[in-house]
Amino acid sequence: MRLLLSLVLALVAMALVSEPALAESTARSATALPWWAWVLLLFVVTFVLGVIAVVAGVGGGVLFVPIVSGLFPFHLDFVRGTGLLIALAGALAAGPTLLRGGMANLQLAMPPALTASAAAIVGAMIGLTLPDNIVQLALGTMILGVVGLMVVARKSDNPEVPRADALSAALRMHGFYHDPFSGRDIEWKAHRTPQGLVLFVLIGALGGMFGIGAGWANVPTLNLVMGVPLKVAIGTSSVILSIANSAAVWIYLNHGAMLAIIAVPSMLGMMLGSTIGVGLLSRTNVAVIRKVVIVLLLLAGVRALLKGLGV
Amino acid sequence: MREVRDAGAKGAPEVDGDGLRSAWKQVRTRLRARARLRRQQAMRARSRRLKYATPEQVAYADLLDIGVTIGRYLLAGTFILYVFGFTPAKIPLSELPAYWSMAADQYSNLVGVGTGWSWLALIEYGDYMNLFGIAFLSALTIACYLRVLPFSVRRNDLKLGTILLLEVCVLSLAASGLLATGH
Repeated sequence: MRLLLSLVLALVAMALVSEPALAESTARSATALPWWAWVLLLFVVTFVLGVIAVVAGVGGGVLFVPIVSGLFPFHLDFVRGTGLLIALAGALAAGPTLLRGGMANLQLAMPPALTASAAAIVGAMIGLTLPDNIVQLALGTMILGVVGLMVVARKSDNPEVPRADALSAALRMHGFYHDPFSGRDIEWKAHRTPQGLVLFVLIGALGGMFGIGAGWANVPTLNLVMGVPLKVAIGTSSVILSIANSAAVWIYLNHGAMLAIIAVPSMLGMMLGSTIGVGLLSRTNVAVIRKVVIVLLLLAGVRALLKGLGV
Repeated sequence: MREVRDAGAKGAPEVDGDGLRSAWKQVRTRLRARARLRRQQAMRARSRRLKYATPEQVAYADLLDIGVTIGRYLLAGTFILYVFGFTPAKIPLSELPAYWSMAADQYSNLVGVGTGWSWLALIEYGDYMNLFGIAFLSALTIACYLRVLPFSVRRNDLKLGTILLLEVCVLSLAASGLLATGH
């Protein structure tokens, strides 16, 4: 399984760096392959991305947009719409379990989700209005930023929060969750809420503009900035994502930037891949996979930058 | 007497009414006990959930769960109808590779569909029928927020109610199609 995964990742990396740009050459010869071959290929690629996303602990959306836009002849509008939908579907599916188990907190999620969803609408509208080369340039820069964040970001299991700030106390952004490993109920509260809400505006706008999920940014904001325990941050990030992405998906849908032939196989592939990825988690060297993902994203980011510059 | 008994034995079998009634009583008692146990387990699970999740959180999760299941079947069903040709397609599947590299507004102009909810007019075509499932999943959040709204009213929680209403307004505005833009 490790050898197969490495081979597939190597193929994806080679495809991303090959010249001329694979997507452009495939656009010219798009009619050479039948439609079902592209759909099958999309399903396989998103399946692999789903496996990698879970193992490496990154969102499927942040992998989907740069990699699929680099490998396939689909226009970036449709790829971004599908990327948002994939992130939304995953978050909606995980939501009930996380909410019932107390790993996601609705009171904590609602204020950031409000700011993020409003910003996601604006981001989506801007993204759909900008010329393609500007979007590619901005996407490339964004992906390189995500890579940087993945490299430097630390995590804190249970941050020290001496006092809840006035805003989080007023909005009742506190609670407790059961940690199965220690067997204890851990009480938590949040601080630096205004700063967190401002960051969520930025996160929502970027997510809407580029069609990527925002888990890579939601979790550090909740955990490192607002002081929420890591497990609650991860669970609540999923709920925030489902709300913010709903808003952005509507913009793409009403703009006509949603093709079922791309969206549905991608969702299926990602869902199946995630299910397999969960099973592989205990048997894989997560650190190695994470490094491979960082390299892939680096290549995809540089590729998008070069596309934006017309190279 | 013996002749009558022997004739009875060779003819129709005897029906022990008391035996059947007693067997049915036992089955009914067991079924009721199982149902009672299931109710008790459900109540214990619910009180465990409420320890870590507020009632509004559980209500949100329960509705979301139902909605996601329905959405999944909708998407899968409409996609199967589309891909296997049970419904006509506005752009035939074989011709799609020539069009999916176009910008979204260019594609929409070609198909003859405008922005907003105008895709509903093409719902009899498989490619647009699938969008119904996508719209359903996107609308789930609005439904879940409306589900939670009565909790804020009952508790007189103005802050929670304000946030809920604002979010419903934001999502409804996004869904309305009034904000649809183009290149």
